[in-house]
Amino acid sequence: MLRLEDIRVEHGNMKILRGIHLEVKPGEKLWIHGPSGSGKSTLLKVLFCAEYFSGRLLFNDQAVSPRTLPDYRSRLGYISQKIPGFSSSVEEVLRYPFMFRANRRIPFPMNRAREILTRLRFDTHIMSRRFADLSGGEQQRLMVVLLLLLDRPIFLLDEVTAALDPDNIETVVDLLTKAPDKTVISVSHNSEWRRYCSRSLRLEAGDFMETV
Amino acid sequence: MGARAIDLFSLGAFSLLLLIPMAIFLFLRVPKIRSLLISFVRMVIQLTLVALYLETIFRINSPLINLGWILIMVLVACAAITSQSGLRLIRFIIPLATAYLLSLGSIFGALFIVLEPQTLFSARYLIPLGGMILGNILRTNVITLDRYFNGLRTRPEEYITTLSMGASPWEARKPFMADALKAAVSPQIATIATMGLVSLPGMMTGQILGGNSPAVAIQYQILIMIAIFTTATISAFLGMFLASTRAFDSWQRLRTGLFQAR
Repeated sequence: MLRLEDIRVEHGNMKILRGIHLEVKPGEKLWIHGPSGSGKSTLLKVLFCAEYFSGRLLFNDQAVSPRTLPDYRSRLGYISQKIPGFSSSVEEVLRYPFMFRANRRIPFPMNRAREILTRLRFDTHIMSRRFADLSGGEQQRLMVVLLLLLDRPIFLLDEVTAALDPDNIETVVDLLTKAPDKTVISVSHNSEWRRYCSRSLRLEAGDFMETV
Repeated sequence: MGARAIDLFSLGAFSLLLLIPMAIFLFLRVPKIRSLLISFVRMVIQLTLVALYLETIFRINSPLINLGWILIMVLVACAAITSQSGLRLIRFIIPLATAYLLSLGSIFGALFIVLEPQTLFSARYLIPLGGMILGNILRTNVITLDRYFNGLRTRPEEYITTLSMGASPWEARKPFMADALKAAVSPQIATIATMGLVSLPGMMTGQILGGNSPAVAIQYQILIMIAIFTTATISAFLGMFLASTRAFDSWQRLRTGLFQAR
């Protein structure tokens, strides 16, 4: 499904990724871990084509190019390490993606939203609260709700459980990895992911060290 | 009837007042005395030169020369805006000059409603009106471009996350544009709301000193405020919009080499 060939990223003299090779199969759940600064977030940005890189990125055996980018990106659900500073209410944040031209035809799945919110231990009043007033953990879980509502086939997750307590970590990881058809690439320091992922890779100084 | 001329000796003596801010700077150890002196010397030289060539331009009073003068002012504004917002002039001069010429063109087109073309294109109207409008374009665009590109540069995750939700590149950039525009127009809206109460605007003061009645002065002031605010907003929007066409590559990533080394 996804293949990276000799991916290199350099920032000035610093080599962030040093010739990464990776193949991810449909439905695979992949956990990437490693020390801070090893290039994990950069690798996700490469997969989203938001980073300058050399090498080849293939999706379904076809090289991703600027021409195929919109279609490729429409298959990806990405949660970044830094959460955007939305100033509107939670409901408006959840409805936000459904206002974009590409999603306008999709009705906002309110029932599904309520179902996921309950599953993630939010009470019913959360919809009217201001997103910016919530704790980091609550904001992170709401980004997960957004991702699940958009229902993309590939999840790119950057430290999505970093601000969560142990109970919520388990719920979130379970929720994100339980659908067999979803391909999940999760970058995290949290070892809970190992239990739920079919494969784990360690990234160190811009290269994979081991495959488990 | 014009304003009474000030003799140069008196003006020189009046400039000694600057010793007071310099003394305050010295007392508080604000390291701005040198730049204050340089700025004032520059201002005196620039204004003297302006007076000399404006005298000439007013005497010749050719619409073509007047428009050429506006074009030069637009290019100088582009250089000042890119320099103050940390952008590289060479990358942005064409989109920004286009944005500012289009905004000026549209507002001068609208000014035909109130002033006949002969009056508007005469040096006595075109140069000061153009200068005031461009001065405001400059202030607004320094803020919007700085805020817009710094936002995209320092909060790339926000841009990427919005793209990942299905936003088109323009949809993803819209919140950054809105934030930049809000920062630029908020003080202007506040100034407009208190105009005449807290401050007497420069143009109106100039007209009254020049011998016009306050009734005529306020007509011009209202006219210029509408022109200034509209042009500033159009130019800020067009500036960000057209600059974006140069700032992103075909992968919708912010290009490298857009910013001056700081």
